[in-house]
Amino acid sequence: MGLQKAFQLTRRTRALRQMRMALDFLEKEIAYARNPLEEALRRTANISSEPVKGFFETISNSLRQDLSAPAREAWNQGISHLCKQQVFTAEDLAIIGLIGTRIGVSDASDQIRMLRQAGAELKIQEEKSRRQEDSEKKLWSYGGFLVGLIIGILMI
Amino acid sequence: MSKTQAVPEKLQAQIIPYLAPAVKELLSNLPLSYQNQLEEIRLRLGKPLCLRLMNGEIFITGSGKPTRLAEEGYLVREDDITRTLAAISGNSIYALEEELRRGFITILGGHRVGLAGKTIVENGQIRSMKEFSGLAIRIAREVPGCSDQLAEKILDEQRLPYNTLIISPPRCGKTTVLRDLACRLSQSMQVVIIDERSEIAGCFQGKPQLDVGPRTDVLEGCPKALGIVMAIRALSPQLVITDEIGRREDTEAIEECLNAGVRIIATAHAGSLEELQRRPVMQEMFKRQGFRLVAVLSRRKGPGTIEKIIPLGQTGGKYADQNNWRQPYRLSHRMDGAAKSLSINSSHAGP
Repeated sequence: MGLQKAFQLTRRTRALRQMRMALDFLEKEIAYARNPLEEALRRTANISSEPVKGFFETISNSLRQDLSAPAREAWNQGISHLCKQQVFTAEDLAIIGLIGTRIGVSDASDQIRMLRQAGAELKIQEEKSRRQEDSEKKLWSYGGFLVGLIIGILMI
Repeated sequence: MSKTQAVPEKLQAQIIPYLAPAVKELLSNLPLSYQNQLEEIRLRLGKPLCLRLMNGEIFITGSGKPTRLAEEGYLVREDDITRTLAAISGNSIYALEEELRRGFITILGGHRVGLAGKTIVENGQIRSMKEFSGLAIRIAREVPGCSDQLAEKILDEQRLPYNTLIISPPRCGKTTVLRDLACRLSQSMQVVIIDERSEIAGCFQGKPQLDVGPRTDVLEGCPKALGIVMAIRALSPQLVITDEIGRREDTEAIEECLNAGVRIIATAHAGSLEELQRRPVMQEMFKRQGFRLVAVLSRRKGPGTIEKIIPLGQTGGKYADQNNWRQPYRLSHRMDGAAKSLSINSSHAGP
């Protein structure tokens, strides 16, 4: 259990970094390539790994399937996908979810501002996660071993 | 695009898929007779869904029935506008900044979606739009042959067009006639269309969606003054066609065009020559003796009705006897005289 918790902390830090990198890529797709959102999201999914990949794939697929679906609805579907993965905290998801309210509905400069703001907030979350990871990883790892050892001794 | 689609086909294939589900359902069941007459779909937030037909306006009730009474019409909701705009823009407003500055988006099929909402102004220029409150979906209409009568009147003895200015109030078919002229004249000459507002060729992602003929190049979204000079240098046209001239820089570009031996056909908003004369820029344009003919269109017998062809200056040829050759230059006098001298029987060039 301890090892599992330690692994979860590492996963979250890694996923937050991946999400930041993906949003950075999405910003370039929007600001410079001016690709349609569905294509921009698909391309972002292609350069990402799970669970971020699945998040962008879900949104992109949703937009492709329903032409008149507003981006915020598709984005919420992506958030539901992330919830199931149990990698991000509620705080992380709130930051990512906020992007959905404005993605695709304003000019490029506003989109850049919004994505950078979200990226900056995710970076703070990532640093917090890393600090937490450093302090708790050992505790959870050793704690897990110790609990396992005690259980083992008791069983003998 | 060689085959001309009927309005009901265009509606089903190119417009209805982009509408919000509620509006889509209402319009899918619109009787064919109304579909054939359809010119524009108006979605205004909190107002009845309105359809502009060739012969008037109707509203659509919540059960999809046409009515003349606004109070019976289905009231457009914010969600209808949001979803329609999401489909039209592909949820990518950032990719349509130029279109937002111009106030409309051209969609597949060359149909134009006019936007109403809050404009964002920067340094006195419209930078963008947001908080959309209305959409005007104007169906691009091709009327093959609608310029036949006009074409005969504006060709000289060498079958080259006189430099012609087509004038009319809005919604009288200027652009439709201009497009058909391009299509027709490009059967025998190199034509370049300077399509600043993407209305003539109805370009979508750079490709003309409407038939503009086999020898026609299109400069889309290009300011007329720049486009005319660019076309002369790069595309060696024999004829330049453009829409809605009226800015000071247009005058110089048109002069450049004429000095390069290139013919020009353009349009301008005006109900009559007299109205046109009141604009200083147009006075300057006439003073430079650029245009030889002014064709006045109306909707009297349907869009594209030719009201008058007015020769200006030394038109010669078939109009030689109707010009006031020796009269000293006085713009208003010459125009008045010319206007009186020729009044061609009205003929219907529309459908």
